[in-house]
Amino acid sequence: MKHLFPIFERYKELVYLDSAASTLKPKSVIDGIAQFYSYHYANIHRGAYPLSEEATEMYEKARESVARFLGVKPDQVAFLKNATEALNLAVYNLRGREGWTSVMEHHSLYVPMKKYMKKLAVGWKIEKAAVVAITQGSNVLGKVPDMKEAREQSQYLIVDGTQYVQHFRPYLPSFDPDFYAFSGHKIFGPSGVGVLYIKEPERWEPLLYGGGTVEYVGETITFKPNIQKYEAGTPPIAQVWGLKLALDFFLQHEEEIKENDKRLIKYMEKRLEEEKLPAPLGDKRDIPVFSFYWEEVHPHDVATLLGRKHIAVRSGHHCAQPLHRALGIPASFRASLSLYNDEKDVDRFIKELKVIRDGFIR
Amino acid sequence: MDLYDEHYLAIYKNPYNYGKMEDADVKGGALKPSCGDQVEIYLKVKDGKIEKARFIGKGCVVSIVGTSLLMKEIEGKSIEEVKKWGPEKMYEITGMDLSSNPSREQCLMLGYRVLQDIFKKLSH
Ligand SMILES: Cc1ncc(COP(=O)(O)O)c(C=O)c1O
Repeated sequence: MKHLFPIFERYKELVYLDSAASTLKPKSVIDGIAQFYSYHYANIHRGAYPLSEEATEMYEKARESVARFLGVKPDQVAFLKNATEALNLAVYNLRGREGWTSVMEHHSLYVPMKKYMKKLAVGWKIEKAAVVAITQGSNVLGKVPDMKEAREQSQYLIVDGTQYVQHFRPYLPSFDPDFYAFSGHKIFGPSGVGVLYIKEPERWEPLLYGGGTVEYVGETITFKPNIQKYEAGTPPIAQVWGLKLALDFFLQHEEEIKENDKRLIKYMEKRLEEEKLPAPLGDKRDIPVFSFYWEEVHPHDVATLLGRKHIAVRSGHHCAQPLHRALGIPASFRASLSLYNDEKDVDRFIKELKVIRDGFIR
Repeated sequence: MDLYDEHYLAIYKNPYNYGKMEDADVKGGALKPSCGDQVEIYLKVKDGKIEKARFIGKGCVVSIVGTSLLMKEIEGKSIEEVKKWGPEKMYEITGMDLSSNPSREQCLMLGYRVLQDIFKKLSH
């Protein structure tokens, strides 16, 4: 599938194993954004002239695409800056309650929960709480928790879909979250746009106030009755269109993605074992995310050395310090795979890992 | 020299001036959580002179080699002199070339920063 991603035309040796940080962009998305700017661009929701009407229509069409992707109504889908903003908005609206969150959470959910909940319990096993906030896919362990269980244990459920959506299509009615967030750049789309599904949009407040959100501004202010009240200011118009194209891309390749993920998870696990390399953190993974801790070699050194061989991995705590603390390790290096990876990429990763192991551990 | 030169790898596996000092006059430590590196530095000081410098820690090649060579360098020098060193001194001491890995400069400065903290403590 490398041929669909122009970066490989310039950088043939690249083995990109950092899709959990951000996926590469397919040509259809890149070209589609350029076309949008070239031929359809105007500000939206304000001009009475045809070009603005057209751009507005495309923006709203993108909202319908996201809604269809999630199995919800368009008027429940807000476009924000990224998953971080989306999760903050969700947690802020539920502030002052008692919450539970998993030890695996990314800081973008963990930190707002810590800040805004009256009391916060943190653990591995889902516990009953007024607000349960949980990821649908760990960005370190590749684990997918049971969403139905999370729903049963909670009065309000916030789900971070950021890692999940690049691998599987979520069907929200099956676990009925109150909020569901993800970022465009982790599902083959552009950065600068995030999505928040809000089950009851009329009930909650936006984080930002400003143009585009209001109906009447005088002594009193009335807000738009629909989802637009969450989208203050000029939104990331072209990025929203890019996200729509990215979802089109995902849906077109959904089966290949699933098949590729499954095959490569197996292959990676098999090759690691064959070469007697340390096993990745966590037991079984549902998405192709492999993190490693080697006692003898620092993750930064592994990442820098792999980088010299044009293999892109991430090192550090991956914005999941509570998880690393729970595992009793300072940091890790992570290989995360996507549609453009294949067995050859895994082989090169394994080969260079062996070189590093042999160089350090003698 | 390249940061993964054999010379550095040898120091990394068996660093100079490594070990805890029970009777240190002053010590300081830093945790840099973004990578989990930790070093702790111990100094024995007499009449303004650093008589003995030791460190312990866990870290990457750059931070361990940097701290180790820094400890070796400051032994026998006066605090007044060492205090004057700017961060660029770390490049001079180690001879390390980070031009293709500028993000690793923070690793190189880990021991240097802990030492600055210690000097601040000493002047209070
Ligand atoms: C699980 C998870 N949640 C949330 C985020 C935050 O995404 P963003 O940085 O796009 O807001 C990330 C990305 O790093 C993530 O992996």
